[in-house]
Amino acid sequence: MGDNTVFELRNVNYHYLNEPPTLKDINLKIYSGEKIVILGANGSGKSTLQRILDGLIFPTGGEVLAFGKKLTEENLNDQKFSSEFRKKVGFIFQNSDAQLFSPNVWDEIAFGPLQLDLPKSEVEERVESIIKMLGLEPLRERPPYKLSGGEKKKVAIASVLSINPEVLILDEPTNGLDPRTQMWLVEVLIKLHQAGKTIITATHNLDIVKDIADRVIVLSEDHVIAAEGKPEDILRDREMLLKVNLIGEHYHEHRHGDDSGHGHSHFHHHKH
Amino acid sequence: MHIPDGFLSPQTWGTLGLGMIPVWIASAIKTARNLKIKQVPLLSLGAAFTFVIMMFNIPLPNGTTLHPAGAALVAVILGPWAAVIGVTIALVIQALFFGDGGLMAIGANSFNMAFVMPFVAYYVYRMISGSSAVTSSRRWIAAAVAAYISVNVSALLTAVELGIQPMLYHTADGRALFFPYALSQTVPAITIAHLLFGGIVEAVVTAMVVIYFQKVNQPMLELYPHKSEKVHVQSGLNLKKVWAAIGGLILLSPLGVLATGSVWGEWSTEEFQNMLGYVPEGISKAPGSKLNFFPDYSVPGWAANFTGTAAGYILSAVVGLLLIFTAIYIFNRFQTKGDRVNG
Amino acid sequence: MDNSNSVPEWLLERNESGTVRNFFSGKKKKIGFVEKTINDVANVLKESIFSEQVANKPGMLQNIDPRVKLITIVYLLVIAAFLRHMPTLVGLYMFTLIMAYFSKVPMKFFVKRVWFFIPFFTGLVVLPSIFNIIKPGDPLINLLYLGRRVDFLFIHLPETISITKQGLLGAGLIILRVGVSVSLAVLLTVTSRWSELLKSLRVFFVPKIFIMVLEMTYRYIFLLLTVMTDMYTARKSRTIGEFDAKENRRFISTGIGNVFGKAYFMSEEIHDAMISRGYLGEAKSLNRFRVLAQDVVWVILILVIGIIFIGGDKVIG
Repeated sequence: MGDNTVFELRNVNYHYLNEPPTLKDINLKIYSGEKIVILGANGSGKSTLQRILDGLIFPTGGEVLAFGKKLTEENLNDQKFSSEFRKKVGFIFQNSDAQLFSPNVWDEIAFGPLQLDLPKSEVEERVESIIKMLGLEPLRERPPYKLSGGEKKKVAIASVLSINPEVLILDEPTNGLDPRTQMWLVEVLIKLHQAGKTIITATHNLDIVKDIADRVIVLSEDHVIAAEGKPEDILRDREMLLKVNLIGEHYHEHRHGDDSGHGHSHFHHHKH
Repeated sequence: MHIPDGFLSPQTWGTLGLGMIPVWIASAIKTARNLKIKQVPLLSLGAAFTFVIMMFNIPLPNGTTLHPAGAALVAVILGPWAAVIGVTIALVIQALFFGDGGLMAIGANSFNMAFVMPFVAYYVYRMISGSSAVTSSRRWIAAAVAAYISVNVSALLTAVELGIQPMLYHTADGRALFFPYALSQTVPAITIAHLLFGGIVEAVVTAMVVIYFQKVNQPMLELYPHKSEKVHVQSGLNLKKVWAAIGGLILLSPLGVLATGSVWGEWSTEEFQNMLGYVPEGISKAPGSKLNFFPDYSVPGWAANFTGTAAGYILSAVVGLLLIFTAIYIFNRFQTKGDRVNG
Repeated sequence: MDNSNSVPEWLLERNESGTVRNFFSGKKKKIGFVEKTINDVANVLKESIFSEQVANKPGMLQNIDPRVKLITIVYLLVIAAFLRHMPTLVGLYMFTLIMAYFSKVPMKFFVKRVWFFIPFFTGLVVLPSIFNIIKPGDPLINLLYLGRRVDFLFIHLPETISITKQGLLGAGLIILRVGVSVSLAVLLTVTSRWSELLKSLRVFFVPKIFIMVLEMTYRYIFLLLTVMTDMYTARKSRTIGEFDAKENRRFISTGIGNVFGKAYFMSEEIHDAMISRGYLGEAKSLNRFRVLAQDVVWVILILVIGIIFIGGDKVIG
């Protein structure tokens, strides 16, 4: 399994300056081709964990290995290592406004490949094919402030996919999306997973967990891993979910396929 | 205070524009070193913020509203060099997209509001606030005084730039070619308005925001100057070269004006110096007497007949054409070459 | 967690004054600074949307390479700055109208946009200069005969107050010049997509890093403006009585502080987002511009027209 490991976290701790820690003693291995969901209430440290995985911040204690190499600030200052790492790992931010900083959709999608020094013709080809794949043709020249929330998320995904990363990290991807776009997103993630991508999603949206996870990691409000396991087992463990404040007393698990009018059921056709 | 196109003579906006080039280069180098990799998003948001401040309308006692220029505030928070870039970019966007201030006058407007204003504001602020604590009331008082003084200095410059136009450029019979009022009229009109209103609005807004940060978000007042002295020592040699280059550019910039002048047949060197020499004298003159300043003023090139100089113009047009396409060609080459190297 | 978070009593009560009957007091509120700011912001947004629409029409200027367009318009602006006679400036204005027509810029908008504001700003500024009170000159129309010169402190009045020939011609010239310059600038901006316009600044040797900052600035202005309008709208919807001036100033400074805080926070996040996609501090961008035969024809046309105007101006004197 050793070759297969994408990320390995050993006793990772994180705190900002003198503030209380946002992650405590995290031990975690993520394997290539996995679908992982990081569950946790607001402020449990999901974002911090994802930022550490993407090499944007660095643990204050413990160590992180990415593709078998140490992921440190020093290593990322090395142009070759950094370029390799950025090609392999893509991060879709919760706030699409921060992610979409280019003047229009086309430039946004071209940004990543350009930074990674792909030749001009390949950049153009990639942008065009991603636009086609996600059906963004009408938005091609549109500036980001004229996109709806759902369109912004689509473009954000396109802008990361154009790098063609092996690992895709998504921070609260369904936040603020209407149900239809949520469904679209889940389908895209399933497709990408089938294409061999490793997908790491942080969310507190329990409804989508089963579709986008083989394995669930639950972060508690005191910033440690509270549980880890198959989605079915995790979602059944009401007591634990209550304890980490992910559900209220009145929560009932969503049963897929119960109401045929509901959109959820048809996802299952895609996954085999 | 945004000067539109058409108010200033090409010589004035040309000179100020050329003068701004070394300032822009220096600010790019300075901020690149201080802000490092974060410069692009930070400067962009700084510039966007400057633009947005100019949209805040402040109610005045007489029922009207006024908006602050914002340069002082940006200089106090992000430092003068970042303010140069931030305000310049806000001005470019205002001119390009919202028709506020002229395209050709960008150099002049930048000189007044993006260069002089933030630097005056920053140094006044430093001088008064000294080494006082972030929460000290000396900080906001310093910010208020800095804003008041800097906006007035900037307004005075605007008044001078506009006021020298009729002295330098008018026809033989006293017809103004550009801005029609003399210094004796522009200086009081513009400065009084800013001493009474503009300066106070700027001071109140700047001070109130500083007070707000003192209460809510103190790190915002400690963004500049940066505490990394080490960086300065390391790149000291580089800085010297930059200053030498800037000095060279400054020395060359009047030559550029003379060169353009002679292309258009507007001024001889002698006349140009003559006029510069006359400027201070004009300030003391009464409005009525300035019209006879250059009684025999005539533009040498323009007096000649059309056919005589047509050949010269056609030649310069051909050169212009060649220059334009060469520039575009070179850019395309750079682009493709860069791609090849990178790929 | 405790589920008995009870709703405070007063929130459950119905607000009697909120009933429809006394919803309107009949008193009109005057337009305050809150409304003015909201309107200003709305105008900025409206304008940008409008110009984006024109830029997407299949017109003449829209088809010119953005770099070539920028250079030629700047060239015409320089020409306008050097013209010193009204007939040539009128001629150049006519030419901007022709360009606007072939570029499918709505004529009513084009003329109104330029001539609606200039009289209020430039016009008002230069108006006093036509009288011999401010600038002496050959009288054209005599308005008032005082009988003798008046010299009192700052006031110097001539014997006869009149409109002067020099004053009128000078004022006309400057208004025309401003009008032509604004027209050219409007043509440039409404027929260009702003992302292309900013990229084309490269022809003036503007460094890539500046252009990147410019692009990002323009993009985030809209975000900050939204933050600002939300703030103002929220305040407007909560405003019951009228606030005093001190309260207003406090609101504004808090508002500016908030916008800055938001901007600063965003800049950190954008930085992360850029790093994450491989940004290493060096701006790399791709322009998709190509100079075509029509662009060459256009440059030649504009150069010739510029020469004609300069030449014509010299023929006049």
